[in-house]
Amino acid sequence: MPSEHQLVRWDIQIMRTCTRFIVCFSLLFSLQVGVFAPRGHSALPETVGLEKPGVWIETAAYSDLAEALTFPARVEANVKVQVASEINGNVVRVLKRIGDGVQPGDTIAMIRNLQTALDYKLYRLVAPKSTPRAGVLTGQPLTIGQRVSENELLAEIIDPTNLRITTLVPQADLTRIQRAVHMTFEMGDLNQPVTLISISPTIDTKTGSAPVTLALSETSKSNKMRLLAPGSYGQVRFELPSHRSITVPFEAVVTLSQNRRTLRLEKNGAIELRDVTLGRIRGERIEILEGLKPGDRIVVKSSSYLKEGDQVTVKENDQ
Amino acid sequence: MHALYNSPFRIFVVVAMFVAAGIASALNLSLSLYPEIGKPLYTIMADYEDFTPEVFLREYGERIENKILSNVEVETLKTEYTSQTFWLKVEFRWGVSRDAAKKEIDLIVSLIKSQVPRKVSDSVRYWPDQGTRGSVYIGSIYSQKRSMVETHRIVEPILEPLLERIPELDDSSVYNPNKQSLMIDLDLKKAAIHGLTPGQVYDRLEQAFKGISAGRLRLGKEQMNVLIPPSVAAETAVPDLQSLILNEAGVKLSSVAAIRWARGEGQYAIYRTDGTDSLILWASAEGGANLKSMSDHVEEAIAEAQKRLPPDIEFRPLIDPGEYIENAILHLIIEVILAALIATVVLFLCIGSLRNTITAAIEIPLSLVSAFILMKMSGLNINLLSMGGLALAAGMNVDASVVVMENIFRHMESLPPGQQHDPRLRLNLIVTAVKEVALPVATSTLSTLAVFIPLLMTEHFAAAVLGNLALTIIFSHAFSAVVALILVPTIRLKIAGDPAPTMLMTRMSTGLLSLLQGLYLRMLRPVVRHRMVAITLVLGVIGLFIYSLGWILPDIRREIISLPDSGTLIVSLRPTGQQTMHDMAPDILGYEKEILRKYGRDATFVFTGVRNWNSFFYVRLNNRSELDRVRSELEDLLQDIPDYKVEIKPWSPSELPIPDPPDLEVRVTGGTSAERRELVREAIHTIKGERLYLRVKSDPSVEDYFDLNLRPNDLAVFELQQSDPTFSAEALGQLARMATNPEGEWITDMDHEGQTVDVRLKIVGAKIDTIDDLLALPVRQGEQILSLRSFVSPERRPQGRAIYRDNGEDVSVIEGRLKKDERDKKYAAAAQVQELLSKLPIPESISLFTEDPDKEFLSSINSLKASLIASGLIILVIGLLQFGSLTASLLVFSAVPMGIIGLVFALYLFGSVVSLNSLLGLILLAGISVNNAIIFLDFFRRYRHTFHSLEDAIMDTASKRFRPIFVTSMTTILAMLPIAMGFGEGGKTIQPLGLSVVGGLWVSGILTTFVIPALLTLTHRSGRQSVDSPGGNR
Repeated sequence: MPSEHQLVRWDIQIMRTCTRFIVCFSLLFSLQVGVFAPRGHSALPETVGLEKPGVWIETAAYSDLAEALTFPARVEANVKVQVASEINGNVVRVLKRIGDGVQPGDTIAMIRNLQTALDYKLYRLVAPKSTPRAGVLTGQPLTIGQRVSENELLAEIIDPTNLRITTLVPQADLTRIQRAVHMTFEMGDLNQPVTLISISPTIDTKTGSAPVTLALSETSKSNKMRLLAPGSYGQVRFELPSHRSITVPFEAVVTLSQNRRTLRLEKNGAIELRDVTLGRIRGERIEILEGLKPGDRIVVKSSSYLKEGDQVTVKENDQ
Repeated sequence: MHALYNSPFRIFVVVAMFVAAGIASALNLSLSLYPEIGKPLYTIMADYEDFTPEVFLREYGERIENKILSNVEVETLKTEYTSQTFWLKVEFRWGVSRDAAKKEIDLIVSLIKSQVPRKVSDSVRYWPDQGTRGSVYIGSIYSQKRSMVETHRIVEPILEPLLERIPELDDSSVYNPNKQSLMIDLDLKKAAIHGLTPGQVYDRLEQAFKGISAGRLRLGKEQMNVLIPPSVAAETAVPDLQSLILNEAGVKLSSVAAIRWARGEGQYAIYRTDGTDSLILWASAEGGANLKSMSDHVEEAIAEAQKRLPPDIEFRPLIDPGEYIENAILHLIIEVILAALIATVVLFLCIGSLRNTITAAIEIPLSLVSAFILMKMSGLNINLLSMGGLALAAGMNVDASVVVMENIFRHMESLPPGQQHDPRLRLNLIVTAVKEVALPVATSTLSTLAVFIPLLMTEHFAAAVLGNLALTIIFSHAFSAVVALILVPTIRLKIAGDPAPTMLMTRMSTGLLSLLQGLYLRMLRPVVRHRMVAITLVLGVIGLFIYSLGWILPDIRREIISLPDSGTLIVSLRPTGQQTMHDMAPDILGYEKEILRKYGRDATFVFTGVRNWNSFFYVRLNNRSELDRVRSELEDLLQDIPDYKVEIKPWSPSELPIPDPPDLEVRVTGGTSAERRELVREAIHTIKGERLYLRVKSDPSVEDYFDLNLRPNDLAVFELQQSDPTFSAEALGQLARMATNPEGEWITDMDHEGQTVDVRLKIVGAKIDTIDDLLALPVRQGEQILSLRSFVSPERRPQGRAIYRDNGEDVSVIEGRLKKDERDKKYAAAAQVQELLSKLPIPESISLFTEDPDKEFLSSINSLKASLIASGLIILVIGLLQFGSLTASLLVFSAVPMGIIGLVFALYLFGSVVSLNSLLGLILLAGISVNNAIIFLDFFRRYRHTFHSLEDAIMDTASKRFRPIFVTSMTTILAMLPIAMGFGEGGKTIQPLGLSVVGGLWVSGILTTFVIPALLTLTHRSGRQSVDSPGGNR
């Protein structure tokens, strides 16, 4: 006979089931709620940086932009008198050395005639009438005993005070250099103003460039020292007419999207974004074609990211 | 067994040998901060000049990516195709060894090489990724007598060869403050007049430094090497170069170039210690190398060098990973010793005589010894986690001995006083006593260990790191049962003596224990007597459990694993633009001055470096606890500076790539790459506008970079080639490249007066500041000299768009990082971002997904989830096996949620973090806390039938089991206290573990002693119980 205490009591049965259920449930709950749930009630982080970020300002202003084109250029003589032998023979005497001054009619060398049919034995190599007053002998030096033939070029006489500059300018730049307001020839420390004489009407097919000739002004005075030797290289600089425009440093421009470039302007301590159209690069700056007025205060650098309406403190005025 | 216990000599010899083996193993274990388990990461790159990114991806990239992704060892693959180069970042799974990864990567590289065109395959390069910034040794070299230049001249030839022999080093150098270069300044115009291009001069120079072997000549017995010597010899380099003939016209180098000795621009850097220029030894470790042994080897090399150097030259380590690791580990070893001492003291207070305490405590060193032997055998090393495991186990290990000893006492007390010294009787008695507890001791030890087994089977970072901890606990704890059953009885047999308490201290502690026991029983009685009180108690505990998980736990900070403390801050400053070192130096030295002014007194030293593309400060603080303050002050000081991206991090020399996920990650997929780019750009502007994040960036970058294209005028180039066959577009490129290289083109290295100098060709006389300057470079053509402009037309074009792919999928990723002390707020910040982004006009084809900021944390938790559940099941199964009843095993299991309550409160109250370690603590806690419940329940079921009323049975069990539960809990808890306090550099890492176990055990200890009786009251009928078989533990 089953005694009372051997019967399973219903309340104990329920209690057991509940305990099991609660233990299992709370374990699952712990894993889901506790560890995996996001943390709901936290506040937003403070803004990064100072309340009012520092900005570095530049005031927009028109400036004259000078653009320059530079080409390698060579010094050439304007006058070059060539002296050729009229006979076949041997050089027997050299009277003028390379670099010596030569006047018209001066004898440069004596040549012994080898052709007996002619009536004189010694031939004078003479500087022709066209020789300039300040002429200087150049070319290959003559040697005594040297064999020369008829019509052989034996000497060149140039005027070192009468020089010109030649350069080759690519087709695309020809029209631009014609607008040049100022031209200089530079060689080492030398810096000489030059003027445009001529531009070849034909383009060299090999190089796609046209020869351009320039005149050295004040050559006669300055080249007494013979600083410029014909044949030497330097460069010609064509300064193009300046035009008035506003430029800003590269880093001031913010690309908001592919078609939207903006500048950040500072007005009474607040930021205003201004869409602009960019022009060409000028050295380390970029030209602004549209959107900027002189007097606008442009943010060049800032200590943190800026958006429309942000309050800022001006750190430095780049004026 | 009789024979075993009766021949102590044999046992002692075995133990002695064992200890010797243990000490030998311990001394041979290598040292590192973290377990030497890595996640190898390789970078592969190659150039494909002839392809656009899109074409290369379509033709080759996709196929290569698929092949790599099909490799099972590879976990993630990130690829980037930029305008000329492709980058592959191959990340292996956790636990792939460096050698295995190397082998796989070799396969992958040869696969890539076989797929791509020849030219691309020749340019393939790959390297293992460097670890953190911590993997570098920096020392300063100084002399009171000599100048820096002179010191360098003496030190370098001695130290450098010694450093080169160190296998762990990737790169090492003694920074030369006055490195010389032989500069050949080529005058471009003079060269042009002589018809020489810079390229021709370069080729001629390169050739001039090379000798030509002309075979060997045998003359009788002698053999001579026949050589055409180089035209330029190192000893007479300058005159040789001056008279070097460059072309058939006999032009000499001296007529187109000037030759001079110059300070090597390329090598130039500024290094300063506390504001003065210093001579610096810089040694960086290979990725994944053991930093401790790297540092040791560097210091050996320094010591070796010092023997040969004049005594006035001194070394001072600035950044020394080895020293740091040693200190961190040393602190943990002290914690292990402290834990052992505390356990011993607690034992002494609780069980009585000194002899008995020593008998039980002998277990602690022996368990350590066994752990060391097993660690050596299984290839573990000494690191923060394995030492942490030993420290944790120290307190647990005495439990088995306590149980065995207690049983021996009980039996001895039953002997008549006169017979206590009869050896035969004693032996029999001890054998009986040990046999009685052998099974329970073995099973309870096994059950503690069993919970760790699932952990060892998971993969992922969690197991890789925690595996070491679990293994050392298993190694030391498993052996404790062996010691308890063999050695303890043997020693006990030899010690004849009165087990009764003899000292005042012991009497006091016994008094205290009885007092506590009385208090406990008085409080327990109403719970057992009144059903309603029991129900209220159980419901209260359940409520507390739900409250702690639902409300307190979410408020606790989360971290994957806490990093060790560091007393050194690294401030790195990267320029936002292309500023060189010279541009940066004034700024950086200004900040240095500021830092020195503000923190000069707090800092042991401030080490400054200014180099091209990056500058940095290392600030070593006198007091480690100041780190957070100084860090946040430096963040305030430096975050508002323009022109630099600033990053401030504590220095930590860890070989382990601990995941450091961003606080915000938005993935943009779908659409064309141009559409994505525009959207990402807009999104970045929106996110930056809120100024919530310290840094926001995207992959691929949306910043505009421009190329200057010099498009050749093909006709002009062809015409020129007709007259000059050497002329080509390549020659034009070379001209422009050399003219724009301010450091000059490197020709060769040369020995000069015992030092290596480089020879460089630099173009002078053409200062290039603008595009026009570049185009004015002279190019000779026949008799004429033209400008570069004649052959090319310039064009400024945006750089080709990079393609970024993540595991083979086109994606753009936006990442944001919060300030360090505000990282708790990442959820709110991410929610804010999500709301802002939803307002953007997003094209339909594009989807934008904000990742859970805790993704990385959750995935490591998830990897542990399975082992948590498995451990729980194991506990249930052990309960079932032991008691043969589900109710009983659930009762045992109820100790786990009670432990969790304690764990959560402890973490919350002590401001610790929820991390992998605290979850490991949970597993450990589960293993230990159920033991108390098992002891209680086992006793209850054994003696239930002897009592008429349930109340009496429970009260009797409670009074008998209070003492053992109290003693074992106290030893375990108190021994873990040093860990819970988190001392030392490495303390932070395992502190959450100690805290969670200590907190959990306290609470579960107290609650079990009340809740289990309450649950028993509720689940068992009153009166004599006979349905459940008594003593299920058969």
